[in-house]
Amino acid sequence: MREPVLKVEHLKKYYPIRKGAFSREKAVVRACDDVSFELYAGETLGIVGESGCGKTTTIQSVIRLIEPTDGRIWLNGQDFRTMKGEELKRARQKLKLIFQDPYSSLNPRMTVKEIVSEPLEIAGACKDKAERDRRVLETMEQVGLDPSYQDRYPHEFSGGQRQRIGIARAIVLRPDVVICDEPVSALDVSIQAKIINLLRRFQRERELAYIFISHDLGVVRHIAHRVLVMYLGCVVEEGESRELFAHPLHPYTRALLDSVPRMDSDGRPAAALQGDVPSPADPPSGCLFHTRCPYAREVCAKQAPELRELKSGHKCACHFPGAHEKEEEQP
Amino acid sequence: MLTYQGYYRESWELLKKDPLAMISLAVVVVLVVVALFAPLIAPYDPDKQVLRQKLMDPCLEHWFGCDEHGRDILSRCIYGCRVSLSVGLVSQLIATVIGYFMGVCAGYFGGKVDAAISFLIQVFSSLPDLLLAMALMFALGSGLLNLYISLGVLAWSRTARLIRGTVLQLKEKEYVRSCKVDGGGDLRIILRHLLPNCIPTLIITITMGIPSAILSEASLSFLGLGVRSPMASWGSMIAASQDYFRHKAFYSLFPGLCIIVAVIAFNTLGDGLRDALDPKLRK
Amino acid sequence: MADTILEVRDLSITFFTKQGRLPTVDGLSFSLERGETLGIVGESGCGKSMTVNGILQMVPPPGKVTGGSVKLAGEELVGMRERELCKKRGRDVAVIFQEPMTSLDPLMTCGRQISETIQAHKKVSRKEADARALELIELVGIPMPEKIFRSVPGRLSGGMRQRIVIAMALCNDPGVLICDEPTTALDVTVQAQILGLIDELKEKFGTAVIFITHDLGVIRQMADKVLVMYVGQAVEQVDAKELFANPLHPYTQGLMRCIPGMDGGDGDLHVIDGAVPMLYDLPQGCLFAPRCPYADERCRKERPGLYGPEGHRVRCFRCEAMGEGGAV
Repeated sequence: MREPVLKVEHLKKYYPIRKGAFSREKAVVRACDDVSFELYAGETLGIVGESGCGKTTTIQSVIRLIEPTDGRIWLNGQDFRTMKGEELKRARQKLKLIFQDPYSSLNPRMTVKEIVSEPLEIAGACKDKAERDRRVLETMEQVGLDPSYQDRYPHEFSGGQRQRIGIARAIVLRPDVVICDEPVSALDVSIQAKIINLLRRFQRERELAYIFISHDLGVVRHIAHRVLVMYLGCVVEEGESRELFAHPLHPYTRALLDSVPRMDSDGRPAAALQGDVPSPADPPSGCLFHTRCPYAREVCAKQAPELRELKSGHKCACHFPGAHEKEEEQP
Repeated sequence: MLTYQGYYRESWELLKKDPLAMISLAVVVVLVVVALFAPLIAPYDPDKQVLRQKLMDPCLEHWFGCDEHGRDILSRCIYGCRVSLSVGLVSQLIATVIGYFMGVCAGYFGGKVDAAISFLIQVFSSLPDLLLAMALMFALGSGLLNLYISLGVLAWSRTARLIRGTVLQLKEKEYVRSCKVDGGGDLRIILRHLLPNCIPTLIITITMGIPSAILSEASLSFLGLGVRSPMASWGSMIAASQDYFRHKAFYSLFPGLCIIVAVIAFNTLGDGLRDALDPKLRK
Repeated sequence: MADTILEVRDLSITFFTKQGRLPTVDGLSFSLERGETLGIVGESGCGKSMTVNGILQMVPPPGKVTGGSVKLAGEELVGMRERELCKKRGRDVAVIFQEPMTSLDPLMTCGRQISETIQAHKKVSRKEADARALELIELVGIPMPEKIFRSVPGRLSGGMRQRIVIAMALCNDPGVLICDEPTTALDVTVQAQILGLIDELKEKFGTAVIFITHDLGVIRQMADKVLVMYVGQAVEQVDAKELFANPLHPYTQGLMRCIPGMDGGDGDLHVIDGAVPMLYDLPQGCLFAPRCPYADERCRKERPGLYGPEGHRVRCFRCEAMGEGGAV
C-alpha cells in the first residue's frame, strides 16, 4: 500500500458571525465543512465548484494560512496541524502554493532573483550565497525563464512569465505537494496551455502531487486524476476524473458539466441551474443543494445525505444519486 | 521587449515631466543648500549687533535691511532657514519612526494591539496640536532639541494612520501570504515585504509633513516658545518685528516670505511625489 | 441588404505614442443584420475591446479613428458631432461590460438607474419610466422585482448585477447590443443563465448582437458569424458552423487545439510557439508568420490580404488560391 503524501481528515473551518450589530444571537458560517481527502505522490487532485463554495478556504486551511477549526492534516505521515516552530518551518518546505493572480502574487519591489531565492533563504537550505544563486538560476531555466532576467522586476514581465516566476518560487525547494489556486484563470488560452504543460512536466519528473483548483472544468478534466466537487463548503462528490466526468452521480456535478459552453457540440444547453448559490450564512436545511436541485423530493429538505462510496473510489452525497441518468433513459 | 527599469527610476521619469514639481524641487534644493552652507553664504554674522544700523532700510550692503538691534536680516533669514528646515526634517523623521512602528504593529498584528494603537491614534489626532506643543515646550523649556522632540512626538499619529491602512491592504497580498506559507517570520515580512512597499507612502508623508512642522515651529517661536534668543528663526523674527510693522514693513515681510516660499515648495513637491509614486496611477 | 443595421468598413484605430503610431485596429470590416449575432474572438490585447470603442466613437486618447466608416442604420458615425453621438449611445447602440459593478452606480437603487437611463433618451414622466424599469427587471428574470427595484447594486450577486446591466442596456430598445466579455467574471452555471437570457431577449426584440469573448465555447453557443482577431486584424471571418467544422487560418486552428477538451486525451496540450508581437515591433510580413508552423519565405516578407469566398475570408496566403467562390 502506498502512503499518501497528504491526508486530510474531517477538516472544518467555521467563521463566527453576528446576526446584527446589537444581536446576541451567534451563528457560524461553515466555509469548509468536514472535508476529507488523500493525495498520493505524482497525483493531481482537482477541486471544482462555484465561487463561494469553499475551495479557497479549504486549501488555505490545509496549508495553515488560516487555522482550521477542527480536523487533522497529515503531511508525509506527520501531524501537520499541531506542528509548531522549527518543525512547522521544516514541514512547510514540502508544501507550496501557486496563486491565481500573477500580478499581486509577486512583490513589486523585489527582483526575480530575490523572489525565487526567498524560500531558500527562509529554509536555510543553501550553505552560501553562491549555491543559492546557482539553484535560483537553475530553477529559472527549468521553468523556461531566461536567467539573464534575474535582476528585473515583476512588472517588466507578461502574465505568463510572471506565473512562471511564481512556479519557480514554489518548486525551488523541491516540495512534495504544490497547491495551485486557479493558476491559469487569468491567462490567455495559448499561454494557459504552456503553463499546464509545464506543471505536468514537473509532475512527471519529480513525482509532485498537486491540488488543483479551477473553475474551468476542461482544465481540471485535463490535469486532475481525482476530483472533488464542492458545494457550500461540503464535498458532494468525489471520484476518478474520467469516471466522474463521464458518469457524474450528483445532480450538481451534472449541472456544472452541462453549463460549460462546448466547442464540439452545436446544441445550446439550457441553463441547467436556476438562481444563485444560497448565502453560506443562512444555508438551506437538509441537503444543501435541494433548493436548486431539479430532482429534489421531500426527504431532501429534511435530511442531509451522507457522503457514501457508491462505486469503487466514487463517492457521492445525494439521496438519489444518478437520478438524472435514470430520467434520460426513459423514452 | 523588456527594459530594465526599477520602480524609483520610473517614478523619477514621471516626476521629471511635472514642471511644478521640478520647480518646487529646485526651490527645496536651494533651501537645503542655504541651510547647509549658511555660514558661507550669509554676508554677516547673524548675531552681531551694530546699533547704528538699527532698523536700517534695505540697501546695497544690507539687501533685506537690519532689525531693531542692527543685525542683518538677510543673514538672519539664512540662519533661520537652518532652524526651520532642520525642525521640519528631524521632527518628521521622529514622527515617521514612531508612526511606522505603531502603524505596522496595528495593521499587521490586528486584534487587541490594533485596538490599543488605534485608540492612541484617535486620542493624538483629536488633541489640538499647537496647544499640546506649547504645553510640551513649557515643560521641556525652549531650544532646538526640544522643538524636534515635541513636534515629532505630536505628528506621528497621521503617519501611523496612513501606514496602518497601507499595511492592512498589503498584508492580504499574495506575496505576503506565500512568504507565510514558506515559514517566513513576522520580522522578515515586516522588513522585506511591508517596509519597501510602505516607503513611497513614507516619502509622501514626510514631504507633506515638513511644511506643517515649519509652520508649527514658526508659531511656537512667534509665541516665544521656540528657539532661544539670540538664535534666529523665521517665527521669532516675525514676533520681534510686530512692534515696527507700521513703519518698517520689510522687517516682517522677508521672514514671512521665507516661510511662504518654503511651505509652498514642500507642499507642491509632495503633490508631485504623490502623483509620481502612487501605484494606483500606474500599472 | 435592407436589414443591415450596422456596417463597418475598413475601420482603423491608431494610437499615437512615443513608440510611434501603433495600429491597434487595422482595416476591420463587417456587417450586422437585425437579429444576428457576430462573435469577435481573440486573446487579450488583440484589439477586441478597442473595436467596440471604435464603433461607439469613444476611442480614448492618444488613440484616434484614422480611417474607415461605421454606419449605424445607414447613418455615418465617424466624424459625427459629439452631441449627436451621445444621443445614439444608449439609445440605438448599448454596451454590456465584463464587470457589472463598474457600470452601475453603487449608491443609486437599481430601479432608479434604469428609469434614469430611460428618461435620458425619452420624454416620459418619472412614474412611467419607473413602471417600465420594473417591467424590464421582471423581463430579465429577476425574482422579486419590486424588492430588487429598491435595492442598491452592492447587495446583489454578480449574476443579478449583470441582469440589471442587461435591463439597463435594453431599456431604450437599441438596434445593436454590444456585449464585451459579459460572462467572464461569472461562474459557469450563472454564465449559462446569462447567455440564455441574452439569446432569449435577442429573439424577442430582434436586436443585433456583437459578442466579444476569448472563450471559443461561448462563441460556438452564441454566434451566427465569427470574426477571429489577431493583433488588430481580422484573420478569419466566417459563419460560426463553418469555423468550427473547418477552421482555415493557422492561428484559429492553434487556438482551438490548445484548449483542454472535456473528453480529450491526456497528452500534452498543443501550444502556439512564441508570443503575440508588440504593436511597436510588428513583423514585416504576415503578423502571425513568426509563430506559424506553415510560414515560408513569402509569409515573412509580404502581408497577406483577406482571401477566400464571400462567406469565408481568411488572412493567409495558403487560402489565396481559393479565390472568390473557390473550394477547399
